Amino acid sequence: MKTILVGVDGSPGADKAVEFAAREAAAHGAVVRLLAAWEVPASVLSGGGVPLELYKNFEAEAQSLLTAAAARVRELEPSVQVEQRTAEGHAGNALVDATADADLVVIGRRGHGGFTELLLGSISHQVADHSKCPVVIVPWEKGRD
Amino acid sequence: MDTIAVLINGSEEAAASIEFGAREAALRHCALRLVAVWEVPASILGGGVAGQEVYDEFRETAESLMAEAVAKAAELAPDVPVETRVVKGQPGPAFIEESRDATLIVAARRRHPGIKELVMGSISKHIVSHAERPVVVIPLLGRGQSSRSEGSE
Repeated sequence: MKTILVGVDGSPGADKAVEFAAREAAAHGAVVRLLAAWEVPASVLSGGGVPLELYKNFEAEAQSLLTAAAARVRELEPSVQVEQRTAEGHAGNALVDATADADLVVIGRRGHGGFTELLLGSISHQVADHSKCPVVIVPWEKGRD
Repeated sequence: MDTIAVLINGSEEAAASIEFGAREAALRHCALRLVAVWEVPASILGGGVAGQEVYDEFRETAESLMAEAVAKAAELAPDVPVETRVVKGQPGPAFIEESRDATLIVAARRRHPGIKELVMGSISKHIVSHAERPVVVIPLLGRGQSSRSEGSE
């Protein structure tokens, strides 16, 4: 196992996925590849042209989620090498595409709604359905940490 | 000792799941629990009651799948302790019940003949939705691409 892909969206479920991936990567000597997908919601697009800054904001948000997740991996498993990637588009599609080039993909089961909503309710099913590599779905329930 | 639970739900599915589960168990120094669940489908019962021989046949099929699974696990990870459970019930809920205390749960995504796209079966969907532990879903892809990491370790 060389590359462990993780979907990152800042939700508690995704945090659990990052932790699982860090441990798994340490056990296998694998690289953790963090992927944060972002897209401008249709509700925003429907207003017509979208200012360039808005796109930049969304991408910057994804970058900052990746930075936080990478820090968490290093905190848990300092020896594990981390890659950070952003993708513009639907999180489920971006993750499924990225599985072609991974040995394992780890996702959390619950998202938190909002900016990257969807990641991990319906998305966990989408990835489990269409992944090219084994998928780990890490559950997270409020109050059951 | 921690336990990795693996669903044995078909020959091909079991082979893929055991390959993953056995490797993880060896690496993490866990035990393997192989779980085969059988039931007589409603379509066979047809609203009536099936004879004992029908139940025996389904149970024996599960047991022979299990024997195959045990042999495969022993071959892949001879040092990993293996526990087996053959239970009657609905596959999804019964597997969840039998793997409640496991640290990791492994099931393969079933192949649906005739459907070009491989879609997660209702059993793995149930497991993904209800498990309280991390679940691994192994995709069954075409021959030669089922384990990209093969030989990489």
